[in-house]
Amino acid sequence: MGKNCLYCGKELQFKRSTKKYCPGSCKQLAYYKRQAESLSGIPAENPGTSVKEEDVIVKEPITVRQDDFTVNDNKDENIVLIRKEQSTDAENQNEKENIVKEIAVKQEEKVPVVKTPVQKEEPYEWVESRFINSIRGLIDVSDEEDKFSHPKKYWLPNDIQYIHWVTVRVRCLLESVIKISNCPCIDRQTMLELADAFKRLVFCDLFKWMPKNYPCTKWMTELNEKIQAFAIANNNCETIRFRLSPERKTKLIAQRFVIGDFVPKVKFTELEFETALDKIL
Amino acid sequence: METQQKQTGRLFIVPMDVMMDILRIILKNGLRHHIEGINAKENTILIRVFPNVNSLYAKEAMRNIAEILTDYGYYLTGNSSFSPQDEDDDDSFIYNRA
Repeated sequence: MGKNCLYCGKELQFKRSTKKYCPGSCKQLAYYKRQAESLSGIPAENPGTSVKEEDVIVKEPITVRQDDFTVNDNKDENIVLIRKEQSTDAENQNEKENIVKEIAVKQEEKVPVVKTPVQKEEPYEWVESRFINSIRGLIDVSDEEDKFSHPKKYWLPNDIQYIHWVTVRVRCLLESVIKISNCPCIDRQTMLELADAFKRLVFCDLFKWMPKNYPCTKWMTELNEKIQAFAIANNNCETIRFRLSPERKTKLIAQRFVIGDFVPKVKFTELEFETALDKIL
Repeated sequence: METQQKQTGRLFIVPMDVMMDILRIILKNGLRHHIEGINAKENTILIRVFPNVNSLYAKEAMRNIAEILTDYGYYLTGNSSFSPQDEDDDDSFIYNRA
């Protein structure tokens, strides 16, 4: 089965079917041609497709022998090389080789060296904690922090001492709830004591007298209801598994954070409820 | 000091609330680590991380872990360091002897 040279198009006669070019210069010429095409910006032909000599266009004027080639200037100042019909094949081969070499050299001189940008290392992908972001978000959107940071702006001086007394207990109970939620299980006595402390705080007179804009009243009342219900439901269990949902836990941590700077930390065992009113009044 | 750090790594008390975030950092960046102990009472684990000191990624990852734990401690206790254990309860970790 006949096969043609990819450069000159002549029929090849070889035992090996993998040969693509004539013996001699065709292979080299094809290489130069590809080089010239790539340097001049003209997309290279696909391997296996023959290139017509009439398609070879160079951007720079070159010196050629007038008896072998005619030179036509076009408007784009490009020169199209047209082979004379009377030239012999051997001569053409040599001339073509010289011309293509010349083109390649000229193009190489003209084309600026393109510096490939140094690839930057990918920046470290910072991991944000969703849990912490939730707490931060809750603190940012509420105005409660400002109330406890500047209590005189929002409350009367006489009210502040009551608010302080209540908030100390709120903080302690909040911390206790958060703490026992981290324990694998708690005993019934601990649960009952916590439920009792909540009840005593929420039903004490000072808590009821809190100003309307005191931010802890509503959610402390709700939390008390849930704690009481949970304590009643688990009244018969010796050990109780107490858990908070992530949403509730983030809310409680955010609440504790907000009141953290307003009141000091007091241990649960040091909490008093009965004598508070007498002491303050 | 650096050699010592190479050998000993850095120890973190990781609470359950942010454990997944910390593990994500460790596994994503291929940090060598060892779980030293578990504190069931506080719901925390004690984890030792051995960062590659020459790796910029490892340094950033260590900073990332430290920042998450610092933030957590800040919001939970008001302090920048997370130390959930009670003062009179200093040995509540069950240590991994493996």
